[in-house]
Amino acid sequence: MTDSLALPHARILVADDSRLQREMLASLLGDIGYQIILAEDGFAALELFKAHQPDLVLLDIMMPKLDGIQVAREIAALLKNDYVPIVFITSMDTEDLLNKCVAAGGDDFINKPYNSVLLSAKINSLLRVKRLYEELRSQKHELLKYQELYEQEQQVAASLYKNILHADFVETSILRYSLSPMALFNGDILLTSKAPGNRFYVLLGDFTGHGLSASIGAEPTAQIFYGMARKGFAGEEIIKEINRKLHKLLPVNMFLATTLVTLRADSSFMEIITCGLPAHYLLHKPTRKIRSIESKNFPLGIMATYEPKVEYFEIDHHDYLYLFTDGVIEAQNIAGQQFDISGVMACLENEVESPYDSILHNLAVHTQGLEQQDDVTFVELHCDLKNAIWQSVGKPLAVQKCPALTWSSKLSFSVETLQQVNPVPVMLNMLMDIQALQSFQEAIFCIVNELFINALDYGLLAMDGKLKLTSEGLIKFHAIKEQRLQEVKTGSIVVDFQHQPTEVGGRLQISLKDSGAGFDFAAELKPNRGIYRVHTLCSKLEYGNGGREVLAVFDWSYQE
Amino acid sequence: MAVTTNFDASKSILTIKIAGRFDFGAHQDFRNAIDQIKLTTKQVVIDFYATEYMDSSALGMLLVLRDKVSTSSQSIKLMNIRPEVRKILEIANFDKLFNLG
Repeated sequence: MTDSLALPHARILVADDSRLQREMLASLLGDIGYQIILAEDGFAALELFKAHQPDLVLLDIMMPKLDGIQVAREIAALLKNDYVPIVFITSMDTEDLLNKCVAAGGDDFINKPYNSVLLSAKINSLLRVKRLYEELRSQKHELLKYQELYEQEQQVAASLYKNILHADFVETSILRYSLSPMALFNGDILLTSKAPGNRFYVLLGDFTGHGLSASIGAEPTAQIFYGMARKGFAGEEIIKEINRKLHKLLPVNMFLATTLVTLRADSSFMEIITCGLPAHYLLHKPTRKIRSIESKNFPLGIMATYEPKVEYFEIDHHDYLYLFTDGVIEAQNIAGQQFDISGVMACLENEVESPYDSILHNLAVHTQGLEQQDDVTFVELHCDLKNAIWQSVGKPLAVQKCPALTWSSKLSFSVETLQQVNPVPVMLNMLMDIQALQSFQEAIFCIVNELFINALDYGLLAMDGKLKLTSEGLIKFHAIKEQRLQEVKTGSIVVDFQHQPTEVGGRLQISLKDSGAGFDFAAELKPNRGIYRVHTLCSKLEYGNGGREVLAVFDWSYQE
Repeated sequence: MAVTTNFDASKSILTIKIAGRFDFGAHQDFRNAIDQIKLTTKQVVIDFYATEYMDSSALGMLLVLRDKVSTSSQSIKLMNIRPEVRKILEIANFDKLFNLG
């Protein structure tokens, strides 16, 4: 406890008009190890203070020209944010005088004659206070700098978030959502896409943790989602790919809890893959019947291999699906109580007109005056794809005018290939690359997809289509299909595309041959079946060879 | 939130108790606790008796533990889980990843 307190290199300004006093103090403090600056009056003290910026000032009160109290006032005015302790040297200590000293900015007093131990203890303690003050100030400064930097980064990230996550986001009348602009920093993402085959995808996700680190997985997730949805990949394939990517990318402790919903215009079933989010609710408005949908799969990014369970729910245009992340459930009021599932259920059960508005309203009332309203990510999906009104957020596709060309392409897929990949999106993109038919992408996807699935399901795998009529049957259908696909040893599907110009545009002929035992195509050609839609899109649709072969002719014309 | 550990040398079992909220605030303490796992540790027991709540970053910490204890000779057991906490584990399907005692 000796030298550490001497605070080496500290500079002390001593102002006293008595030469004897000055020299005594100089030798005393010099012995301890301080640098001493001596002033013989108040003016000199101020000048030397400005020139040398001492760490501590010892001021005699009674000095010619400027007295100690005036010097202290001037110094205080010079200092602004810095702190330099001022000690008054005094021989008389009337309360009035001491008060004046304190008011002028004095920190302490020493009495003549000096006790050297007391003096050095005082000085050391004041210098330590000064050092603490400076440390605090520099820490505060640094914190402010970090905060500024953090806010800047958040702004950059928030704008990136908008650009990436919203790039292909489609707004539609059937989807209502509440998502704070800072949702990404709670780890929440919402993505939607209109996919070929008249499908609509909604993905709601919640990354582990908060802050910027929670958002690192958002970019690849959005890229995969938009890219694969646009190409017509199925929800299951998109989920598997996101899992694969996140498993490679994210640190062990991070994952994505998510749900992907697929609605199809031509199906009365909603497809849903649930991966670790809190339960969702499917409300049938007229009957107030609520079906709860619990998470069935692991969150994404944890498992190296991933085979998600897909569920199907029968729906009609009276059904509304409610999706939310845990922010809704955990939203606390001032008393620290959570909004909870019961808060959500009360709105769904009692609010006839708009449960969506009711939930948001009740949440706002619940969390009144608290900031965490920002954590709320909440989505309502009206299961009425047929009457959806679309509003594209991204840029509309430039209309390309490419003359019809003459070309053909033949693709043959063996069973081994079909076990690994779904070739429909690949074929569709190949067609779009050769002949720019973006305006007809929807129709062409529908034809190719339907014919291919029929060849695979009913031809190669001899599946029973009647199973697809109920939601339990649909699950069974897909399970059996998956099993047969893995078991079947030989077989192939050959797809032949031929394209040629016509007077008004072009003609695309699509023919498929499968090596299966054939199927009753006439039974499938009913208005509620996918093949019926193909029939209406094509100028010609012909099955032959007991269902093993099919030819579809699609005519297109140039558009103004 | 408090994380305490107890090592039963005779059975080579490391018990980690988490009291209060198991969330990001417990991150460093939990890391320190699992740093005590040695190659010779037979079993790691997470005692949830006094755990009132857990969030997704706590699930992440359990994944770090699982990653650390990946050899076949070591096992993890989660025990004394109250229903609210069990629910959170089940939503994430962690009941298929861990032995929930």
